[in-house]
Amino acid sequence: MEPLGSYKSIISARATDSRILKRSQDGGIVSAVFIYGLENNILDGVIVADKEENFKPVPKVVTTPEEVLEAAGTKYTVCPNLSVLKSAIREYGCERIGVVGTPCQIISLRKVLKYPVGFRHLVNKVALLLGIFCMENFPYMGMKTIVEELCGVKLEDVVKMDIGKGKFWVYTRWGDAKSIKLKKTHPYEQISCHVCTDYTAELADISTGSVGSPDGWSTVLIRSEKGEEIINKMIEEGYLETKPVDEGKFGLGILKKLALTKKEKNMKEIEHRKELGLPVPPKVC
Amino acid sequence: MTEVVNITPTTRHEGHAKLILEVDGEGIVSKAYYINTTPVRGFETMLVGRPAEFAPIAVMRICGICQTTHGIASCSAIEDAIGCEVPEDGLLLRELVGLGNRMHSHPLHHLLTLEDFIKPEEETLKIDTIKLIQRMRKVGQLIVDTVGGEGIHPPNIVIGGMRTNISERAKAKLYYALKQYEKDAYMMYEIYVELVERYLEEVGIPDLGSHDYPYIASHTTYGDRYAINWDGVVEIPPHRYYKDIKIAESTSVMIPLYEGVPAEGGPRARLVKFGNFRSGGSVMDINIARAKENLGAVYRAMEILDELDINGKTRTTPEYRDGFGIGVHEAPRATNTHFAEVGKDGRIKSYKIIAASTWNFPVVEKAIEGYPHQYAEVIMRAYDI
Repeated sequence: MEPLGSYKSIISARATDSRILKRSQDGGIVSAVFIYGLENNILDGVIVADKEENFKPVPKVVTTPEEVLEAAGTKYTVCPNLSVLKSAIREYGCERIGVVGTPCQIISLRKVLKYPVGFRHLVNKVALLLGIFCMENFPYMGMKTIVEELCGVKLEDVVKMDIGKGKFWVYTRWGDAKSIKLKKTHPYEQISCHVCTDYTAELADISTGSVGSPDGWSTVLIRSEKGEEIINKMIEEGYLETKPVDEGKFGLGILKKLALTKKEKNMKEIEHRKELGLPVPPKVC
Repeated sequence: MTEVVNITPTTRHEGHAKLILEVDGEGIVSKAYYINTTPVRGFETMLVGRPAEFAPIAVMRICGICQTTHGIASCSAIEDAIGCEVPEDGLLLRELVGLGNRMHSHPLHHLLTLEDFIKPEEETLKIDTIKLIQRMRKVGQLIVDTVGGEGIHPPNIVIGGMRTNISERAKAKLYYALKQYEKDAYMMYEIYVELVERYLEEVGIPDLGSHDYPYIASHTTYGDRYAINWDGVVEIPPHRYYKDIKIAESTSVMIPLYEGVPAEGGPRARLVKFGNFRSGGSVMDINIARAKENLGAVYRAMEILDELDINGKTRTTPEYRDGFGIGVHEAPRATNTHFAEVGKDGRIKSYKIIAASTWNFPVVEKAIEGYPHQYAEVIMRAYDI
């Protein structure tokens, strides 16, 4: 089993723009790519996961770098990004849209592009798919329970959430950091995530996530020519600084290990559900 | 001696119907029946007891071509019933989405009638005209896509206004599309006037399909419930309209009457009432009026884009109360009228629709009568129902 899917190259990178780094989860790759795309007419609209009060995620079509910045950062809860796909090409009149999504959203979007039933005029208007690494996700109430009950922090005080070093971290606007062991969050996961075998958004043009790179940097998997072209241009023009990915145990090693863990663990769950006669997803990755 | 000519089904028009013609010894139609064979679907009954928000979504499904107009008429009937004021930008967008629909439906109609006027040897003209028609329809559909959120059964038409505004980019896109449409609509108009005039000349009946029934129209580009005398509007069962019970039982429409008689709605009616278009002429005038309306639509659409504030509010949240309301929208084919009674629980108490095309059913019959039977379908197609 190839843990990371097919890709052209893999690097560690981070945005050079301090405005991005200030707001982003790790290396700010998604924000940087979208901003670069919008500023250079490669994209004319992007679909992002923004948040309202209390970390309530809202999918949005945005058309300016400022709005992209506004939406930066991981939400750790489901955000139905694909629900605004049609708005992007209808009311917003976009022709070259970029979409960021979790692996499942990227798979769905690829399927939409392949079989665009109910998505007239969409196919040639999706210009770039950015995937983010994802082990599992939490429904909103699950996330709320983790933050408020397990970590003891009011959602309205939260400025950032993170998963790292085996823990779920919550940072408050008062400067505190609370954490709980990741193990404790398992009961609050979406059960649909347990039959997903895609950790690194294998069908995206570019996939990114923190795993495999040092703090403040992101690992970037460049998968398609389109993805390669935009990343190369960004490096050339100084939008990204890069370094070779750490091939060792705490770099590529851990990324591959986690990707493989997700595949193996969830394949077991799929087999288990099959035995019970329950529906399972078709093999896509 | 009277002979009966049956044309079943009638072709190249929107809908399902048949013509039964009583023809005299000289081939002239003495009595015409235009029978609607679309099965009864019961939209009016289906809505009773359902949430009002469901009404526009459901009634849009009455038709796959002029769905927009049903959505608009339905929303405005319910808004009238509960006294809900739509913000100005919402109204502009609604008018625009309706015009987008007209700007695609009218050229589609040209496509259906084209075959009547063009000669087999005019292959190039035919292909060019069809290309022109398709280009125009694309613009119409682009407007509905952009403003309505979807080209067919647009979900943005909601009670209280429009679900969302459009972006600056979208507005610019529509502007350039309209500029193209403007040119195309002029070309289309010229082609159609020429074709229709030549056709009438060759047929040798300059007043083919004329009738002296009144016109019904409320507005040129949108709809105005105050322009119609509602006391004069009735819809009677076909049993009371047709003497022949068999005919009455075979049609699936009610017969709408205005001031006691059938009334023609649609492009000619609008242009006669609000312009200086010739009234009482050949039914072929409707085809010309339709081509003319494309121009009216494109200019109004451009004006709307100018007036529209893309940051403006497009919707108010409806507050339900007991009431009865009327919604009127000038559909491509005639005046679309919806009547809704709503309860304070936000549910539909009763609902009634006189769909645009329905107005013209009895008029088609009158227009066919008195002319040679071989032109019956051409006359019917001028109304396209």
